Amino acid sequence: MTRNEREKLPILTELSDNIARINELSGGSSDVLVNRFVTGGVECALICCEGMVSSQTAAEMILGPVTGIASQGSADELFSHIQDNLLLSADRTEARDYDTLFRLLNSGFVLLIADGADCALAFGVQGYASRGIQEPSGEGSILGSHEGFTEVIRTNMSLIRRRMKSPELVMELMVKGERSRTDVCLCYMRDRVPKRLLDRIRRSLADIRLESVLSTGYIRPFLEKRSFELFSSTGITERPDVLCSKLIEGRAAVLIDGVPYAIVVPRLLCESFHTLDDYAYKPYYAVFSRWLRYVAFIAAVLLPAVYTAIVMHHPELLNSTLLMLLADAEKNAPLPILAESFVVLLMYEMVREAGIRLPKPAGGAVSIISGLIIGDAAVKSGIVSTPLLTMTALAVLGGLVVPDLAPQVTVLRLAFLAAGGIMGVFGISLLACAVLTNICSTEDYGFPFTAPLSPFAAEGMGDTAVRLGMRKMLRRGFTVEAYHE
Amino acid sequence: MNKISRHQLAALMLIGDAFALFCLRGRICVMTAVGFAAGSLIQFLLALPLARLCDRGHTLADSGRAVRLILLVNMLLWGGTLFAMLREASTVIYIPYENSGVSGRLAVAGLIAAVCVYISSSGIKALARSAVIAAGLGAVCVAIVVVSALIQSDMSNILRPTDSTLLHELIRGFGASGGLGSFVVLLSFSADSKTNTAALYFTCKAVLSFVMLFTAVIVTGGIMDVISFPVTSAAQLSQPFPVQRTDSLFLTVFSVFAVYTTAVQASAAEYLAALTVPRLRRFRCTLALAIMAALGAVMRAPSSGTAVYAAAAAAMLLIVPAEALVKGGLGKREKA
Repeated sequence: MTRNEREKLPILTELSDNIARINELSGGSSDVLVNRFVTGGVECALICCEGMVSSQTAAEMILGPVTGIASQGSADELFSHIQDNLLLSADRTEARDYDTLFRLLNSGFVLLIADGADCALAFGVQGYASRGIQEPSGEGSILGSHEGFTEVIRTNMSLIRRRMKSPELVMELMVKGERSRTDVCLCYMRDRVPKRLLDRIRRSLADIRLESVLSTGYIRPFLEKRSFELFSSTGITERPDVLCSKLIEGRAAVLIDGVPYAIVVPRLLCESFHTLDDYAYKPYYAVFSRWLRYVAFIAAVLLPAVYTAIVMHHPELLNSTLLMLLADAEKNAPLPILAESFVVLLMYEMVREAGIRLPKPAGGAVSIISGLIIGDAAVKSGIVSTPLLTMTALAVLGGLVVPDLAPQVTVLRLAFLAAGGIMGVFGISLLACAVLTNICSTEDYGFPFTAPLSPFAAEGMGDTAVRLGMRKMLRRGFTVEAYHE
Repeated sequence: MNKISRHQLAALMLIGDAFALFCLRGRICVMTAVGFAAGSLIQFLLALPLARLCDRGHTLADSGRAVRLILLVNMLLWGGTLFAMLREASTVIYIPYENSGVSGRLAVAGLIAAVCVYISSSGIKALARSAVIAAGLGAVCVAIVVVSALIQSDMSNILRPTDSTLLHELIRGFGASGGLGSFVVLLSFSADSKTNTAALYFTCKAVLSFVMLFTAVIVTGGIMDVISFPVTSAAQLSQPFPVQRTDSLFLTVFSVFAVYTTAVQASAAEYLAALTVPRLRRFRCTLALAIMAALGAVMRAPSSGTAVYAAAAAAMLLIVPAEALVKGGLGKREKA
């Protein structure tokens, strides 16, 4: 009999055999604590996982009441008495096989087994150490909430529920990962989400066959199409308020235990340019900052490529003053401009990667070394021209304006640079066609990624090209269903 | 079947028409603009029987193999013509490596073909969606060119004497409409009423042709004898800023439109090949593009007023309804 098959076996009624089976299945792991005692005239054992339960809560809410039970005839009577007369924990359930028993044990439940009982009573008294609710690190908001998701799924569920007190908000818990047994929660507004979307997400989640689920990256590929897509048709957010706004628009979300991000399905390209602050400021300023983000994204992707293409292939496009300036700057550079651009961009990517991976105190040192020493020295020594460095810096800055699309911006910027350097504006145009088609072919669950631009949906433009006033926005009664094709 | 909206279909087709106008050779005058616009309206009348037929549920799968084969051959030939047009237009539009011998030309043609293969393989929906965005960007660029052209235009060019006749310009207009074969194929993909789709497309085509040609006439009317590509030259001469050239805008539009025009031909050819030669299961699009590129290498772009091209374009609109009419007539006779 394999280990998996043994885990599916029903719980043994003999207490000693039961404990021996638990020890065997846990491999004698030191953090599985088994405490034998007698209560109500029945031999029992309380099992918990060290560090996963709150010792104080367990002692006050479970140990105290359970050990004080008057004599009962059998284990079944004892369990009936506990179930009917004692409210030991709000989160209580039963385990009838070892698979469930271990899942509950490893989720911070205290389990009570008794001699002669064919099940275990489980009481949720989780008390494991976890990071508190903090400000989201990657999705800053000036006028919005400063609460971000945390690693504990129950906390995240409560953060959503606190903002959406509607009974229409449904949270379906499921377990994914053969080994990790990770809690995954599907959230949606019952009255808003398209039924077809929900059914297809459920099917996609049911198809997941993984050993472990350790980040959103484990689940997202199962929620997206298999074909090559540059952009992801599922989004992530670490803000409960943003997630609530998505749920109201009829989207669904997936929370994963241990991950401070929620997956949002479906995601559209235009959403990468929206921020929560857009809805806090006056519409005219929101429209301005939104268009600033569109321009920044295009600059982030195309600026180095266009600069290189113009300097290498189309100098006639520059006016004479600018041409003389550039020619003067580039004539001293030892490398061809395409190679120079690649070196500068790759150097920036290395600095960025080092800044992310290094401990925070060392990150500051990296900034000083890269910005002040390498950058200044490269320009002064003439290895890199000042205009090129300026263009690269502007492009990088543009990329930082839309952090959601950072991976795509990084790769596309290099690809467009190569196309522009080799084939000029013609090369950029060809690559743009291919990229545009790839973006337009991105579609999951029948929601085109490029909506509401193409296919054009006028009702969606009120929150894409512009940002309507709140009264007009609410009058639209918009849900994502409007984009379904 | 993947369905597209009439706006998407119109965008797909108009890109091809704009590209054909960019590559239009020979003298043009106001009569040319009128002739092309009037030609578009005549094309609409010719397309009405086809649209009505499609509205009644007729698809190309219902047509005979011979008809599909004729359409396919037309599509491949027009695809080849597009490659030839691109090659010849590159004498006035700078495309890196295009003028550096055979290898350069092959590299450019290969690159375009590769991008077209990718675009076509993404499916008609993705192609249509991206074509709308490309057409939108193109419209903005063309608007900039038109506005800047108006600043530098000479209205007296309208009155320049010309020996051109309306009939001659009508034939030219038909000759530059080789993409009508793909319209016949794509019409069945339209989710809306086919008659409305045809009306939208041909109306837009008439307006587009008239605006572009009229602008070209008022800009380049005085130098018509020394230029080969009037529309392209007009775009190059139309600079909105006194110290800044904006040719790259036009080059971008030209390249994007070239790619989409070819991709539409390839997609339509692929669809027809699937219907006509079902045994050919793989690489249909690649094969179609390879044939087009090879034809483009040996063909020449149509010269002014080519009656053969005009007749072929008109025939493409009529061939399907004509066949249905003949089949219907034969069916009735058999029943009788």
